[in-house]
Parts: sequence; structure tokens; C-alpha cells
Amino acid sequence: MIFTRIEYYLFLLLPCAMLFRVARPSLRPWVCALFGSAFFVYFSVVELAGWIAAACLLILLWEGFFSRLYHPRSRLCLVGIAIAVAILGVFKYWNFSTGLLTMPLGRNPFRWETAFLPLGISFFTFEFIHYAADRYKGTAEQGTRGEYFAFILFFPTMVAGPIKRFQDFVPQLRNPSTDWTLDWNRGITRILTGLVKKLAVADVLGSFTVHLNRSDIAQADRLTLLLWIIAYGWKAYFDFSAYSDIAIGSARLLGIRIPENFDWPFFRSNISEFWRHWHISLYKWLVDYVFIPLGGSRRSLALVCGNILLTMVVSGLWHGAAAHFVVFGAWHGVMLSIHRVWVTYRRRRGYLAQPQWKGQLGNWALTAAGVTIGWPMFAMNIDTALFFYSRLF
Amino acid sequence: MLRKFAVKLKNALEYLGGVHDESNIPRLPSTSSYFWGFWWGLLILFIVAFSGQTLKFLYIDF
Repeated sequence: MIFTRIEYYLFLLLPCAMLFRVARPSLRPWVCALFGSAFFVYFSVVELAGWIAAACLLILLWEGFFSRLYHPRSRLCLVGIAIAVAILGVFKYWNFSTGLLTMPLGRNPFRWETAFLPLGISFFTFEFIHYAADRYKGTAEQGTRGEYFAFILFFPTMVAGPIKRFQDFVPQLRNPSTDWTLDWNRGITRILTGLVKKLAVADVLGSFTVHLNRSDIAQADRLTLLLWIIAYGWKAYFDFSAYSDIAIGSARLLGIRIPENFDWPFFRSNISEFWRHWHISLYKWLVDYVFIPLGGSRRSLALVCGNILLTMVVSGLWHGAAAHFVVFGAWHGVMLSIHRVWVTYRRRRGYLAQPQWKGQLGNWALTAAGVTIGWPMFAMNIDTALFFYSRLF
Repeated sequence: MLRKFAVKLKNALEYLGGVHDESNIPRLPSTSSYFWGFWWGLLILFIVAFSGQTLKFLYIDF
């Protein structure tokens, strides 16, 4: 709820944006880090598990200090990645993985009853991994300690992205835009638009999606079920793109531009294009740090499809520690693989021309159907999703 | 023609949403403070009208 709370704007964003603008260049990173720490502690206490969640600020402080040891080709970069993944694994996947391992016992003696997720852990872990991997490859400069703290504690993107890159962020931290009028005009417009999208569209669509439970599904007819699941897709889009709008607008008040996350994904005419325009910063991260290290596209068609599938399963698992998220990722992986096979087949046959508008319309309809069929696996657990499909088809 | 219209509409909506710095729609004022005052007022009206029923953001660690 953070971005819909008035204290976010009054006590964090506006003071930080103004102080950042007037501070000496050497102090700017520390302004970001200071307000980012306050943001993390305050919202961990009021929105999450209280002071124990706030104490997870130590994870970010640890990362800030440990990352100083990263150098090109240094094994410490790999250690840093392993630590970041391990911390995410403990907080996010402990109950899921121990539950799987102890399934034959019928109960999980290792279950962490008071488990909680530190604020933004799924997103800041990806930024930790990006920095460590790029330092290892030598494609990211070290930056100063303050700059790295500003990067990981930059509060507009801390909780849910867009996932930034150090190479893009630091030059702007050093030389932010000085056009206050334009930045504030665009930033405020973006924030207000995001709030309207969230409150007046996404949350209104929520009145449809609230019915995606077993008892309501049992009573609904096919058309109603279809309406609910289409509404869920649009709600997901408006909700998350609203969040991204507010994050991007907030950063703009400081004179910093962060990556776009959505570009009209529901109007794309194939599944590959859909993913290039849906949660763009996640898609790019997955390509750079999962798909390419697995071998990317420079393998046989079968291996490339396997890499795509594995990458999308990772994406699904990242979305949540539950089997239905894995199935959701696998579904998209299968669709992307089929598309890859189709494109390769067409290219080998010399069919390079773009389809006419009727063909484009057909492609769009097929893509929309594939994406819509996937939503129940995102929105509901496996049993409820299967029940939904049995009622729909 | 339909495609051109769709592109223009997309650009106009994105400009009104704060995505672009410059309007590439000739009839859309880019600097008028009256225009932005009206537009922000309209957005704030929507925000006030629909506030109070806020649900959790979907993507904040579920």
C-alpha cells in the first residue's frame, strides 16, 4: 500500500526530492541512502512484521559493505551472488522447499511459523546479483560506497522495481537533470496517473477478481468465468503498471530517470513481444542473468527451447513460492518455445514478410487467449485453478 | 490510417500520463500551466473519488 499512503509523499518523497536537488554533489548519494533507510525501516514496521522486519535493513548494509570487495574475475563476486540467493531462499522459499522435502512425512517439522518477507527482497536481490555479476565481468565500475548505498537503497524502486542497472543509475546520480520545471511537471503527472490507474481502474477491477475462489467459481457460468479471468489480467496490468508509474514519477522528482516497465503489452501480436513489453526490467534481467548464462540462443533449437523453459520456470518461482507460480512460468515458457520454433521454421522456409492486418489480428487474438489461459495459474492455487479450468472448458 | 490514428492516440495518452517530455500532437498544449492545472485537478478528483477502497499492490511480495 506504501505508494497510496500520504506519509510517503509528505515525509519521504518531497523532502528527499528537495534536499537531493539542493545538496552538494558529494552528499547526494547519502541523501538517497538516508531516506531509503528511513523508508525501509518505517514501512517494514507499519506494513510488515514490525521491528524484526525493519532489522532486515542489515541485509542491505551487509551488501553495501561486502560489495566493496568485488573486482573483475574475483570469486568474491560469485560468493556475493550465492549469499544473495541464499538470503532470498531462506526468507522466501524455506517453507516451500522444506514442505516439498518432507512431503512423504505428511507434516513439515522444519516449518517456519512466523516467516515473513523483508520489504522488497525479491527486487533488491536481483539488483545485488546484477551488480556482482557485472563487477565479475568487468562491465560495471565500482563506484563509491555512497553511490552503491544510494543504488540499493533508492526507495522509489526498492520495493517492486523497476529493476535498475548500476551503469544507468550512477551517471544520473552524479549529474541529475537540473530542469526542475520539466522534471516536476512530468514526475507529478506520472504519479497522479499511477494513482488514478491504481485506485480508479485496478481496484475497481478487483471487484470482479475477488470472485476467483472455489465457491464463487462453482456457481458461475462460463461467460462470467471468462469475464473474471480477463478482468484479472487487466487488473494485474493496471495495478503493477500503476506502481511502476509512481516509482518512475517519484524518481523523476529527484531528476533521475529509471527504466520503463510496461509498454502496452496487451496489444502485442505474439508471446515474445508480449514479454518484451510486460515487466520489461524483469524480462531484461532474466535474459541477461539466467537465459544468456544458460547458453542463450547460441545452441541447437531444442536446447534454446529448454533454456527458455528453464528461464520462465525461474521467473514463475520468483513470482512466488508456490507450485502454481511454477506452472504459470512453465506455461509461458512453453508458449515462448512454440513461438521460437515457429519463427525458426518460417525463417528457414524464407517466410519473412509480415502478415497482413487480418493475420496480425489473428496473432493478437491467439496471444491474448494464451496469456488469458495462463492467469488462473497465477491468481489461484493449483486445485482452484484446475477447478476453474474444469468449469470453463 | 487506423494504425496512424492508434499511434497518435498512444502518444497523446502517454504524454498526458507523463511518459514523454514533449507532445508530438500539435493540438495538445505542452506548456500551458492552465492546461496542466486542469488536468491535475481532474486526476486528483478521480483519486479522491476512488480513495478509501485501496487494495494491496499485487506485486509487493505477495
